[in-house]
Formats: sequence, C-alpha cells, structure tokens
Amino acid sequence: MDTVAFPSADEQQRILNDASTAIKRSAFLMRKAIEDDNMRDSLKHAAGMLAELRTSQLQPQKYYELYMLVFDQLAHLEAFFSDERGKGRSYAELYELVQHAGNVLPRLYLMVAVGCLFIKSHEASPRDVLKDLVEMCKGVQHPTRGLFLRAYLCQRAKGLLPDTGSQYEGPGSGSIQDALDFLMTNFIEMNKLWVRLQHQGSARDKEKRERERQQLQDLVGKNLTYLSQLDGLGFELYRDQVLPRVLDQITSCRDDLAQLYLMQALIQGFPDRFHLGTLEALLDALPQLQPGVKVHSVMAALMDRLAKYAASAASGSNDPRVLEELAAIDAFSKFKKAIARIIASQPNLAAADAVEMYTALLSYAGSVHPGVLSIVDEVLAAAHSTLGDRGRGLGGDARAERQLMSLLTVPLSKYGISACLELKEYPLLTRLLRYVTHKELAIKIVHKVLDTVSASAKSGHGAGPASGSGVTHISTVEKVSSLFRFISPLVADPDLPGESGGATEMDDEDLEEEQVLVARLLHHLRSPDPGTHFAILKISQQQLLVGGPRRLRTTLPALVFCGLELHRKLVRPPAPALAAEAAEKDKGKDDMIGKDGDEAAAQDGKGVAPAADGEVEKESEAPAPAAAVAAVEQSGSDADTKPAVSCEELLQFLLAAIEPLCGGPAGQPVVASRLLLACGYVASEEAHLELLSYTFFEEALILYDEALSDQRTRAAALYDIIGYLQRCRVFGPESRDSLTSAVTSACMRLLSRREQCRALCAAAFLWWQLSPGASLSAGKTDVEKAVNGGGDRGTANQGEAGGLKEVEAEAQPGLYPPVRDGDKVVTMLQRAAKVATQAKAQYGATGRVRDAAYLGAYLEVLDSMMRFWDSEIPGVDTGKVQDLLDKVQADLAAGVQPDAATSRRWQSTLSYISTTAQQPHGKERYGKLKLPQVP
Amino acid sequence: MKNILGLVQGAAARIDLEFKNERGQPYKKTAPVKTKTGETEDIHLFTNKDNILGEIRVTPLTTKKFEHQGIRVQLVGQIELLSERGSPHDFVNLVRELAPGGELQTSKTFPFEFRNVELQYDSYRGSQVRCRYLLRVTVVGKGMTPDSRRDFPFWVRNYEKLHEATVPIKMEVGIEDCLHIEFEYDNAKYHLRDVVVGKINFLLVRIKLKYMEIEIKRKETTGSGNTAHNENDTIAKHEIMDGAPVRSESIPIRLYLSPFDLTPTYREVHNKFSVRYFLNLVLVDEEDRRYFKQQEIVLYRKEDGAAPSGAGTTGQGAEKGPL
Repeated sequence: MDTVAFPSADEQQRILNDASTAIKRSAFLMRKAIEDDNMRDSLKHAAGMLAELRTSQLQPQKYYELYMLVFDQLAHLEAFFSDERGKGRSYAELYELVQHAGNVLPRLYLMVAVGCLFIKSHEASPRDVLKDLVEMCKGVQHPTRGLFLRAYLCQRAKGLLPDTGSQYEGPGSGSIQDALDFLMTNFIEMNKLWVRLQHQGSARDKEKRERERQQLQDLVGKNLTYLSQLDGLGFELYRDQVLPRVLDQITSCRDDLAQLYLMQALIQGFPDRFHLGTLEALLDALPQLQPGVKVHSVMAALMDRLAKYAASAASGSNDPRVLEELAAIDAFSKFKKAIARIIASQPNLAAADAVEMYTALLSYAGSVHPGVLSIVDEVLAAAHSTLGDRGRGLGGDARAERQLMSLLTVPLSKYGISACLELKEYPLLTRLLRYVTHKELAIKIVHKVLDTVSASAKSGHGAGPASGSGVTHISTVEKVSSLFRFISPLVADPDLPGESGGATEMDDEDLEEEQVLVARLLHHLRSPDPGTHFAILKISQQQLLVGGPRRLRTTLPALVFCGLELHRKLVRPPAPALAAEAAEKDKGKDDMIGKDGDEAAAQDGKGVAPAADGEVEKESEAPAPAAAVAAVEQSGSDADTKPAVSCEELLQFLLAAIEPLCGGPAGQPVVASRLLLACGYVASEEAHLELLSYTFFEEALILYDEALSDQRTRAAALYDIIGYLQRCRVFGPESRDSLTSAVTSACMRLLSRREQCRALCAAAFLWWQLSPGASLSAGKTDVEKAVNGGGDRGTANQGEAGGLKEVEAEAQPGLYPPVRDGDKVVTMLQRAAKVATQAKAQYGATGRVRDAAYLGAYLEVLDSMMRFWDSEIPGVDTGKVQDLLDKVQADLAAGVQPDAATSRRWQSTLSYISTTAQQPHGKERYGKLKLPQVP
Repeated sequence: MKNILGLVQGAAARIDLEFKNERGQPYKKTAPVKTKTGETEDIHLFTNKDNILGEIRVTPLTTKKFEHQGIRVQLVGQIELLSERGSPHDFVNLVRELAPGGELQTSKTFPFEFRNVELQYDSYRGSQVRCRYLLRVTVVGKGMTPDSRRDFPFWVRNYEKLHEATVPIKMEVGIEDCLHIEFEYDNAKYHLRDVVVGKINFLLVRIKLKYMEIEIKRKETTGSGNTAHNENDTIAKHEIMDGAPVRSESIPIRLYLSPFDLTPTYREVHNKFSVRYFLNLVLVDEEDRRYFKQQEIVLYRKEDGAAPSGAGTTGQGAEKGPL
C-alpha cells in the first residue's frame, strides 16, 4: 500500500472522492445507528468511517480534506456518547469498549473522542487519561496519519488540560506539570513524525514533499502555541522544563525544515520576557543546528523580537525595566558572540546570511542602545572581519552585497547621518561593495542628508547645529572628510582599473543628475564657525577635484556659491540689529546670486534658458533665507569672536576654485564667467578688495575674449560683465578706466553692428552708477520694452538703471563714491550712434532687407538716450533725443522696411512718449518732443 | 429389534427435566454457548463439586396403559474426538434409579440429585474435539413399548485461583542486520477477561514496516505421540501499529481479551486433548512479508467470575497497565 510515490493528482482526486463517498455512507449509517440508540453499530460504522483515514495514497493536503470530513462527523458520535452516559453507561465502559476496535487508527480516534469526554465528565483524572492517550497514539507511526491523529488529540484536549486555575486541576487530577508533560510529549512525537515525513516517497519529489511538509508545520507548532497559552506556565517552568526539552528536540531532530520552523515558532510563540531570561540557552542552541538551516533568519528574528520589545517597553507603559534588563544581561555581546560562533561553526555559511545577522544585530543595537555609536562600530568591525577576505564586490556574491547594503543602511536610519560619519568601520565596509553598489549607497546617504528632518536633532545626539528648519548640516572637518569617504563613488571614479560604473560610462544627463546631488549636498556642509566652514570648503574642493572635469562642471559652481555664502557671513556687521538688516539685504542679493548659481548648477552651463528661470528661482529661495536666518542667530552669539579666516583668503580660494571651469576639459566658460563676476562683485561690494575684484573681472574679460565664440553667448556674457561692473564701487579711477575701456573695446568686438550698438548703450551705464539699495522697480517698463523689442534676454543693467535719480548715498569706507560722468555717457552714446550710422551705411551698400535691422540699432540708442534724458543727466538734452527720433522717422519715411520686432518697438517708444507727455510729471519734458505722425 | 420398532413407533413418553437449586427453585445459572450453527444458546452452568439437583417429569404419550421396566437418570461426561466419531469416551458415568419397573398412569415427577459430583473438566467445543456433560434420562420400555430416552446437556466451567506469581514475558528477537525488536507482555498468564499490556521496542529497523498486529491463536491437539494431531485457529487479530517505526521507537500494546471467544488453556484433558493459546506478534513489511514471533500464554478462568456476561467489570479496575 505504501507506494514509492503518491499516485498522480487525478488519481488522488479520484481516491479522495471515493473515500469521501465511503465516509459519507458510513457516517450516514452511523447516525442512523445513533438514532436507533445502537451502540454496537454506531461504533462499527464510526470505525468504518475512520478506516478511510488509513489510506496512504493521498498527499497531506488531500488527506487533510478527508480528515476534516471525518472530524465533522465525529462530533455526532461525541454527542451520542455523552447521551449514552446519561443513560447510565459509564465512560470507563465506553473507553474500554472503543478499544476493542481491531484497527489501530480508528481505535485511537475513538479513544481520543471518548477520552476527552471522560475528562470533561470529571469521572477520570485528566492526568491519567491524557497520559494514556498520548502514549497509545504511538501506535500510529505513519507520518501523515500520525500527525493528523495527534493534531486531533491536541485539539480536543486543549481545553481539558489540568492547567493552573482550570477546573481540571487538582491533587488527583493533575497539575500544570501534567499539562506540560502532555503537550511536550505530543509535541515531540509529532515533530518526530513530521521529520520522518521527508523520507516518504521517492527522492525525486523531494522538493515537492518539502513543500507539503511545510504546509503541515502548523500542526506541529500548535503544541507550542498551546504550551505558551497555559496560564500556569511561569518563567521558571519555562526555563527549567519547556525550553530545555524543546531545544533538545529541535537540535536532535536534525532536520533543516523542522529546526528552522521550530526555532521561529519558539521565538514567536513565547513571551519576550521569557526569551530575555533564557537568551543564553537559546543562543547556545543555534550553532548546533544543521548547516542547512538559515540560522541567520532565526537569529535575526530573535533580535528583531527583542528589539521591538525593548522599543515598545521604552515608549509605552509596559515595563520600563526591560532596557535595563537587556543591558544587565549584556544581550548585545551575547548576540555578538553567538553570531561569531555560528559563523565559526558553519564554514559554508553564505556571506549574505552572515551579514543578515549583523544587520539584525545592528537594528537591535539601534533600538536597545540608541546613541551608543561604539556598538555600531563594533558590529561593523565584526562584519568586516567576517567579510574582509572576500574582496571587492564580495567575490561576485550579489546577494551578499545586497545584504551588506542593507546592513550599511541601518545606521543611517537608526542613528542619523551625522552620527554615522563618526563610524570608523563604515568606509572599510563600503569598500567591499562594488563601485556601482557603493554608488547606490552613496546616493542614499546623500538623500539622507538632503531630505531628513534631522534625525540627530531628534535623538539629541547629533553634532551638527540643526537649524530651526530641520536641515541636516555636517559641521566639522572630520565629518566632512569622512562623508566624502562614504560617498566616494559620487565624487570619484573607481580606484580599481576595470571596475565598471565610472563617469566615462555614463551619459551627460545621468552624470549630471548624480552630480546635482553632490552639488546640493555641498550646501549642507557648513559650520557656524567661519574658520571651520572654510576648512570644510577646502576639503570639499580637494575631494571634488579628484572627480575629474565632467563632475567638476556640475559641482564646482555649487562650491563657489557656498564660498560666497560664507563670505557674506564674514563681512556681516556683528551687531545683531544690523545683522538682521544685512540679512534682509542679503536676501535680496541672494535671490539674484542664488538664481544664477542654481541655474548654473542645474543647467550645467549649457547656455541660458530664460524659461527655466522662474522655477529655478523658487527652488533656490527656500533654503537661502533659512540659511540666512540661521546665520543671523549664529552671528548674535559669535559677535565677539574674530573670524579665523580673512575675506582675502576666501576669495583667493574661490578664484582658484573657479579656475578649472575657465578652460580645459571641465571648461564651462559661461558659468565660469558668471561665477567670476559674482565673486568680483562680492570682492568689491562686500570685501572691498580692489585688486582681487579687479582680478575677477580681468579673468572674466579674458574668458570673454578667449573662450567664448558664439555671438549670442558673447553678448550675454558681456552684458553680465557690464551689469556687475556697473555696480562695483571699489575701483579707483585707474582700475575703473582700464576695465571700462576693456569693456568698451569688447563691445566693439561683437560682430553685428546692432549688438555692438546695444552693448555700447549698456556700457554707457558704467559711467553713471547708482547708489546701492536703489529701487529696482522703476525700470520695469524699460525692461518690458527691451524684451518686446530686442527679443534678447533682459539684462540687469537696464533694470538697475531705473533708479538713476536716487543717486545720493553716503560714502562707505573702502568704496569710492558712485561714478557720475555725464560726458562719458554721452560719448558712449555717441559712439553707439556712430555704429548705428555705420550699420545704416552697410544697409545702403548691400540693400539687403536683413540689414534694415540697423533701425533697431538706432532704436537702442534712442531708448538708452531717453533713459538718460529722463534721468536728467547732464549732457543729454532734448535735442539729441529729438535728433534720433527724426533720424528714424526719416528713414522709415524713406521706405526702409524694419522687421516686425523693430517696428513694434518703435511703436511702443512712440506711444510711451505720447502717454508720458499727457501725464503731469512728464508733460514738461516729453511735451518738448515732436512726435512723428504715425502712419 | 426393539430399537427399530421404537423408532417406528416413536417415543412412548415425553421426558422433561428441570434443574433446581437446593431450595427447590429453578436453577438460574446459565452460560451462553455457541452452537455449531453459530447461534448462541443458554445452557445451565455448573462447576466441579456442585450438587446437581432437579426434577424429571415423565409424561406418557399413549392413552393406553404405560408400562416400563424402570426409569433412571445418568450423569455422563464424555470426550468426543472428531477422529473417533460415534464412540465418545465417557470419563464420568453416574446413574440414579428413579423408579423401578411398573406402570405409569399419568405424568409423574421424579426428583433427582447428584451430590458433590466430580466435574473435573470444563465443557469445551472445539473444531476437533469436544468435551461435554449431559444428564441422560431413560425410561426402559417393556414389551412392545420402546425405551424413551432424552439427553439434557449442561455446561461446566471450573474456576482457578492463581497460585504462583506471574512473570512477564520478555524477549528479544530479530533477524540479523534487518530487524531487532524487544517485546514484553506483562504476564504469561491471563484470565479470560484480562488485558494484555505490553510494549515493543524497536532496536533496529532496516525494513519498511507497514503495520504490526497481535494475533491470538488457539492450538488444539488431539491424540498423543505419533498420532498427535494439531489444529490451529486464529481467534483474533488486533492491529497495534500503523506505519513504519524507526529505531528506538516504543509501541504500546493493550489487548482486551474479553471480546474474544476464549477458553482457559487445557492440558492433557483425560489424556485425550489439549487446548493452548498463543500470542503471535506479526510485523508486515511493505512487500507484505510477515515476520512473526509466537509466544504461548496461559489462560485461566478467574475464580470470582461472578459476572458471567456483559462488558466486564466496571470502573477503573478494568483498566490495566498505563492507566
């Protein structure tokens, strides 16, 4: 009957159906006999029904269906039995009677059914009956049948155990000890059967059989569950009786599946408190398990369990002493030792599994010993020594690598990034990752810094000055350098030749995306102490330089802006009241600088994209004011200390930092030029260092000459130069002259006449500086006009020019008063007009329609002229404006066809004049202008 | 000659017999006994040294004058072997004359008594042999009136007190490198309502067993020496294990004897026959090979077998062994 393998699925189904039918038939007859009150026949049919359970042809799952069918029917029989007792037949009699059955399996089912009623009736001592049943059940040695029989026994007897406090307890009827013995014996027997189940059938189906066995595991585990539910099971009893026996059974059964399941059932089934007291015993058992058992998951489960327990105890009202207890028994080092033992005892243990244990240990440590970093280091060191000899990428063990990743992620979430940076073992472990994987981790770390509401602040442990907005800052040199070690794949190529994943393999877009993270990170590397901050910047620069040109493109601009931010901190007036003002002022500037900076970072310097401006600006605004506020708070306390770093040093550093961007492989001339200008401006307006500022502008001009070729870019760069230069007041006449003339000649080097003309007009503003803090809004209309007319990007100088009237401001130390030279302005405008005339001549010579754009050039001059005229700058009189107006009008009358933009601009200029002339404040001036007739 | 005529004419008188107790009331003790056809009949039950009392009523069947040459009752104990059918061997034959020859007008009742009778052997019905007791009433005919004769069987059971202390049966058996077991029955002697308790320890299992059962076997031996003839019957099969055990497994045995039709062990009954019982432990492997070990047990009838029928004694006392 016991065939080598089970029949096919169809065949089994057929057998199942047949058996079900037979059961139903027997059950029917049995019920009929019950109705007739015929004990002998009821027993006979019950036995017949139970005999169907004797089949060996069904696999456990199908057998279960059969079992359930019978199980339901047995209820009738039990009811009948209890009726019979009412008629004077004693259970003792019945108990003997059912034992007359010839076959062992039906006999035992009936015995269990009667036996349980026997106990319930209090006629017999539960101890004796239970002992007898559990012993007699040994008669079924077939794994599946035995398991189900014992499951039935266990299930029926559950409520009848002489548990402490139950009605079945008593000196004659048994104590908790007997309940315990019963469940333990049943458990041990069931486990034996369960283990034996694997030897059923052929070796071919082993895998399938193991799956089937797994489905039966809960039958075995039920015993443990019931054990744990005993009211009388105190800790001593558990420690002295239950655990040793269970562990002994687990270790001696030598079966992978069973050991794993039972260990887990043990861990999950019994209260945490028990585990706490028996930790040693539990851990001692682990190395004795079979090599195939996933000890690590058992271990991990145990640690997780205790960690959760500790966590809930710490947070809730449960038991505040748990943490102390855990500490008292030094659970951590026990765990650690146990892990070491397991690793030593199982030479074939997969690296991943070893690491998984350490991961769990780390989570445990994080919950139980929050804030004790040395422990983390200890764990990491242990993990490292385990993995140490496997080399980079753990010898290609991808699973282990994944696991290592999650190990390394644990401290990040449990301790916060700031604390983690103090871990010495961390980088050693990361070195075991492949470059690509390490990079993933690095990205995680960076995101941690960028995203978290500072975990360190929450745990009260972090060293970083977490500002009010909850931004994580890395604030010491050591931490910064260790951070760079942590994220080395983001800042440098693999240090092993041939390792994949380096910058060369990535396209620009991906690389940029990645480096933007680094760039963002840089803003989090800061210290309230300027000296430290500067040192941080220096380290960052060194680290970034390692990354090679393609990375520098993205990261350096961010670095420079960080430097500028520091600079602003340096020059801030120390008094808190003033500081607030300065912060306010800074905010204004910051908008602009931040805008440029972020744009540079985000766009990777690929030209200018006006459309993106609005968006980028919004992003950058958020952190900047926050940083400013933080800085203000800081400056209050640091009022007395002298900055450890001078502006000069800082600017020199920045100059050097920008250099790689100017040319060579990392060349980003446009960005570099802007950075230089921003620095130059800062050097002038904040540091008042003329020579340095001069150098910056000089560099920018050189860049303009040498590195920029595209006309548009050149023009844009030139406007940038003019814009910044216009606001700089540090230059003495000499420097200023040489810069201005350089700019002027640069204007002339533009190719198109119209551009030349426009640039010259802009350059004219260099001779008429406005005082700082002048309103920006006045120039709005002009900006609009410029956008409408030119189609080019609105440049800053025109905007600034709006406040030309408010020129008076007290001189600041180190700064020259604003330059106000009407003659020079006029000269420049005239030069521009001359260029326009040349353009007209060009049109005359070629006759090309395209060249009719010269009218635009005239308009540029006209508009600029009107600005100056409007601001009543000496030397710019009505005649000159009228002159230009007439010229344009004359040419239009002569039939020159301007392009659409130009004619729009012309119209708007005219309408501007006429509307202003209507208004009271402009009547006087504009009334003098004679407007041409609009066709 | 008379007999032939008697057969033709039939018995001249009806004979009835009623067992009585000392006080003259009907004798109530009976035992259920299976007949050859499988039915159960209740037969009056006696024990060695019992007094067998009763009344015999003879009713003439003719209206004529009924003459006889005497009425007597015999108590016969005989052993009848299948092999020597028709010539039973009487080991007891007691006669009581009830009436001298004479005439019987109407039916008449004759009391009789056998006091302190030696009923040495138990009644027994086996396949080869039977041992029976009966009361034979004969009315000896006279002249043309044939003899009237009728047998009244009764049943005898003797009870035994266990004198010697019982020793458990313990034995280790096996097939080398294949199967080693150690079995243990708690006794070598059981009374008929006893429970056999024991266990089997598997010391070595290299074969895949399918199940294990205990058979109760009866061996009837008739004759002796060279002419001895044995007849074996399996009275009961009781499965005690299902599935294949592994080494060091211990399987409990509990076998109630009461449901089975057993007799005490009889040895050399009147040098004619023996009935012996054996427990046969049978292990069956997956290829249906049988491994067995037969062990004789002695059965006896316990003295205080006061409750002759029913489901045995009640209460915890009925459970033996672990319980």
